[in-house]
Amino acid sequence: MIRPMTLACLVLLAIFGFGLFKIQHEVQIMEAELTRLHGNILNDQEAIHALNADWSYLNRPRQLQKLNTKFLGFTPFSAERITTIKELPRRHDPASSKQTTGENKSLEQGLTSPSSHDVRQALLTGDASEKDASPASLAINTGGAP
Amino acid sequence: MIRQNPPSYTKGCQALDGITKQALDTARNRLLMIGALFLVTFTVIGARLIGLTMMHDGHEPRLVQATELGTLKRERADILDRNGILLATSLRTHWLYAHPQQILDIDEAVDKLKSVLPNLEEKLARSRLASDRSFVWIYRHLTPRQKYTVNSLGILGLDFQNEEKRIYPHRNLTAHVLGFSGNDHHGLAGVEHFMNKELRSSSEPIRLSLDIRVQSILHEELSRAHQHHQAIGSAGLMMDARNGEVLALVSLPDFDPNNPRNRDGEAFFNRATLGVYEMGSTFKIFTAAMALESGTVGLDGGYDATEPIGMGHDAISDYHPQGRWLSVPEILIHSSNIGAAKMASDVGTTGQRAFLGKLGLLSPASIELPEVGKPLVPSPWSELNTMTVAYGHGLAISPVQLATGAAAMVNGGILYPATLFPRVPKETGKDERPPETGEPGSRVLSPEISEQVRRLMRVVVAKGTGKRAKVNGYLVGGKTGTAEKLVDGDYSAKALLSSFVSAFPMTAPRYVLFVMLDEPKGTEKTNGYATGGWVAAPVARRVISRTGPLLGILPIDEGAPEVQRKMFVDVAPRGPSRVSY
Repeated sequence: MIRPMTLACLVLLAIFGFGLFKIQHEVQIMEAELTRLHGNILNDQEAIHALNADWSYLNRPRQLQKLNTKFLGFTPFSAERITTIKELPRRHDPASSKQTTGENKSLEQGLTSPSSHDVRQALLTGDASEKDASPASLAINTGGAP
Repeated sequence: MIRQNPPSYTKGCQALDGITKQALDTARNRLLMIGALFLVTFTVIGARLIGLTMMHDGHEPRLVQATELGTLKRERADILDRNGILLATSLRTHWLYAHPQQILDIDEAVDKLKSVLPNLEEKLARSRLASDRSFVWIYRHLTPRQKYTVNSLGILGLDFQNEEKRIYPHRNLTAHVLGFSGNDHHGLAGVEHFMNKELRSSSEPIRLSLDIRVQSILHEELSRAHQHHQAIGSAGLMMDARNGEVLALVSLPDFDPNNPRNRDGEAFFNRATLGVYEMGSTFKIFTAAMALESGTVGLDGGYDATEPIGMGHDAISDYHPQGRWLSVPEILIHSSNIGAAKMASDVGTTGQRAFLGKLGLLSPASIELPEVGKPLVPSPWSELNTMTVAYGHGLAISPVQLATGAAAMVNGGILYPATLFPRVPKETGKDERPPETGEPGSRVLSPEISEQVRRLMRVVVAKGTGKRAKVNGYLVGGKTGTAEKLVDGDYSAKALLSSFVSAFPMTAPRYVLFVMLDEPKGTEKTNGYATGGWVAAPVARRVISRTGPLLGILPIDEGAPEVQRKMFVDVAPRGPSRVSY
């Protein structure tokens, strides 16, 4: 005659045994899945790594410039096109600060009329790209678009 | 019947009773002790059980071990530029090997392989496959695609081994900075060699101070001049004047670090750091700064440059002789050797040596490259040497040393050794820092004299030999240098070393640019001239005009009164024979 306590224990044992087996089985499946996913992630990392190298190669500045010349025609902007907001109203002022103060005439001339210098120099050198320091010349200098 | 117990029995029973009682007592005691022992043991086991199951992680030892997810293990870490652009990395490739015994038809196998691997050395492969070894290497560094095609050929007896190849996506552009590494993953030149241990031990990428955009522009412009003037070599570098970080470093001719085997010695020579040259007139900046600092002459002083200085069988003469008294600014504008020599002579040999030593021109540069040239210092340092060194002859230094020294001349007088690694984190807005602060450097010049040197360098570009380096808005200052090279023990007017050292913007210099061409030839464009002002200064102009907007430098209105005041130099103030300029 099996006592009820023993019976209960046996039943519990069976339930736990089955539960443990089931969980372990599931864990094994999930572990296998995890291994697969980790493998995939490593593969992806490897691919990203290679693509990064490719990206860097395709983005060589010289190459981008070549493509720009072919398709876009952007040119580097010159210093003249950069200003501060504070300076903007001065455009309407005809008496700008370009006026010399006459402190030292020869020096002032040298410092304030760079474009005339450049023109003379361009005539001397006969260099088409050196006619003046306008954006167009920069474009030629950099091999940009016409 | 029971009650009729015989007395003997009762007596015996009584006697037995005493013995039994004793035995029972003993048994109970023992039981108690054993019980206590069991209790303690079970308590301990129970506690341990609770501890193991609840306090620690209670899972069973794993039957299936999942692959640990980590970062990819590589033989060498990546190298990035200052903006995080990839400059060098290691990619997985495959190494093809074969078991010759398993190959059925060697000729067919080699033919098939040759069809997908055009660079395969047929003869070598054939002889290897014909050997009686059990294992031979066939071909290195197959790409995944090549591996796939080789596999699809279906040749028996072939197999692959994983390996890594160092890739430099920017090819020649970074050749002399990065150097290259060999097949055994050891750096053999450049940063790859200098940082070999760090690159191998950690997978953290190394960030350089290099800016690939600036590097590309400098490389392009220098290459153009290099080809146009048929120079035998060229070097250029750009450096942050306020902390010594090198943004670009180019040496021509160069090589492709991806395939450094097809190399000739010339291309592997780093002219920017390893080559030492007599730099010529660019040295006059140092001479002027030294003279002004020591107080032997002021900006308003000058020297008589009428007659060449006779020295033994040689004479120090000027390239553009003015034949008159010259002020200090004029000595720089006309690049007068006589004036510079007299200036240095007044300071004296000891003072000159100490000053140049402080600038680091007498000892190898500290830049993080294995290829660092040792300067050729005159020994003994005679009075004649003092005079020739004043205009850059008799002392040979590397371009990186010159640029480092020039940066100290204009940045307020603090010398920051050149470095290829960022000194300040990107977050601290560098634009806001005044020129005199920043990384700890060593003071070599007072701020006031540095300010005067800026004016001098500006006037050289504004109206002197450096005219061709002018860029509107960026207030370029600089000094040209044209040194005659020693050919068979004699200085030759045919073999020149033309250079230009510049800084911009001169009101508060941010960057120093040095350009040098070795033995350039004059062309029609330059009226046959091959001097620094004609061949090197235009390169500087193009580089500055292109990099200035890129580096976020606010253009300066050269005509503005405050700028004019700041850059004002009284060119010919007074002197024995005053000449109006």
